[in-house]
Amino acid sequence: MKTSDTSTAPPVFELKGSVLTVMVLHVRETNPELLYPQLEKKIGPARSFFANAPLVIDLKMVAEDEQPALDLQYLAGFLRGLGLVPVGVRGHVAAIADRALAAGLGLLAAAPKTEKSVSAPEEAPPQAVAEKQPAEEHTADAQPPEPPQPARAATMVIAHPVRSGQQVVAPDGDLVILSSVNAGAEVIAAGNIHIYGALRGRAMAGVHGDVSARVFSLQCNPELVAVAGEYVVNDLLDRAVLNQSVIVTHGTGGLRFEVLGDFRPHG
Amino acid sequence: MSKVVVVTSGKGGVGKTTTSAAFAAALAVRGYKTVVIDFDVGLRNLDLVMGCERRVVYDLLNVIHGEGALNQALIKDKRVGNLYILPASQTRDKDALSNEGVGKVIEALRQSFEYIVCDSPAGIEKGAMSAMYFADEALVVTNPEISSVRDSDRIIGMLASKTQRAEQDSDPVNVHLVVTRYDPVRVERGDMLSADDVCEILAIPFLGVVPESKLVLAASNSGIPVTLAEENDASEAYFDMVDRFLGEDVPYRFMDVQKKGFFSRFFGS
Repeated sequence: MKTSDTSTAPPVFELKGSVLTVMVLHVRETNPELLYPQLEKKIGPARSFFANAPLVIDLKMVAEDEQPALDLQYLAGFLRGLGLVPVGVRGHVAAIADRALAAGLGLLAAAPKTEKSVSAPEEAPPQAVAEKQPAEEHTADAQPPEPPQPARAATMVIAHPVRSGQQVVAPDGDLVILSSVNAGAEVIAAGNIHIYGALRGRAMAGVHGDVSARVFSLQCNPELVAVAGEYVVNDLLDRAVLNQSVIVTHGTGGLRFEVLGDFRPHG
Repeated sequence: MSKVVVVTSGKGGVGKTTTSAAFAAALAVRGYKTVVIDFDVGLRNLDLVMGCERRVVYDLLNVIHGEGALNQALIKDKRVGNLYILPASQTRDKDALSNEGVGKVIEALRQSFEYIVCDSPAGIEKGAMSAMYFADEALVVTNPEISSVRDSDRIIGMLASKTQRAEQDSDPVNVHLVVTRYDPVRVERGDMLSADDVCEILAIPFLGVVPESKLVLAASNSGIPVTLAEENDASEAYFDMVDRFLGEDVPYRFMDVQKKGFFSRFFGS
């Protein structure tokens, strides 16, 4: 019998560049008596939100002669203590490069121009719905005098069905699906999720902790639906909302389902 | 103008090979020069269903590796003049299917055939991916049950993202839904999804249903594509689909429970 070996040993890794979204800590002041209490105050309560998130430390706003005063080793350790994973510094002067490396931080090129601010969950993210409900917002009292970051995140619109095995993520803003989300599919947004069709898969709105986010669906039969970490699986869904048009909101003690009516989408 | 048609489903056992054979034979009967390729390397079946298993000399992988010429590997059907079969290899590893090699074979077949029907293996592995990669049209074969529908959904998503057309950003693959093993009686009883349910979930153009029929199995076992067997419902359903596929407006059949006439109610039948 003829046997033929047509397989070659497959490569066991690939090395590729990738563009990632990562949180950046812009340090403005090196005075440890101001810096660390403020970090603790801002990040401490939202520890679970930030848990294990990689973080880049940006020193561009610190004057060059002040930079050596910053104890990078301590700062990195402090951030790790808050559950963050500092991965590098940028905007630093050459003089402290060695100290950054010694603190286990990589050296990154200076910041590009376009960046969005990441909001902690207790602060209202800059989104359309949040703007409509100023009553629920808190203003962070420790805001520095610099001008605020740009307001509104772009809405992502998907015009085709989201199918089993597919995942659509709107990392900053709202997500609008002009079709159905099928079983085995997953849609995720920082803001609201609108589904102009049936929701049969998983939908997670307000994934950065925006409790004012909502999920809208013309026909609600999800595998799982979540808003700001509160979730319900299909099994625990109130049968009265099944296959109805609903709005899902984050309420006290769980998700709230508001039935709008009955709807059957056309294909 | 030749077209590559992939017959795919995700799930196994839903009738891809039966559909490939029946569809290709019906296209040939309608006068189109057609070749049907088995991509199920290692588990080849199409040659059995087409009744040419004893005439296989070279296969798809021999052609890809230059061990045999394409026209040596093509098997001419004995019943319909312009129907050919390109069998799969039973002994090779499916990883040997490279898009590059398959592309060369498809390109060569495009020169002389009007329709190139690719019978995809089940699953979403290499074989299924290379079967769909060059497709212009796709028949998504689905049984009226939820697991099959979900797998088809997955495959439709891949047809929109993992094909050459998707990668080159040209017009998307035309996807058509084929619902096989349809039993209107069980649909009416509520223990089978209706064609409407399947259409609603998958949201792609509907080519038609193939009614559950004992003749399909009998024809497969005797190596005859259903559309070349004696007259039967499944054969008519496939011809309807081929005509719809070719752009004709054919009313849908076999979707409703046959109302029994007064006499047949008394006399059985």
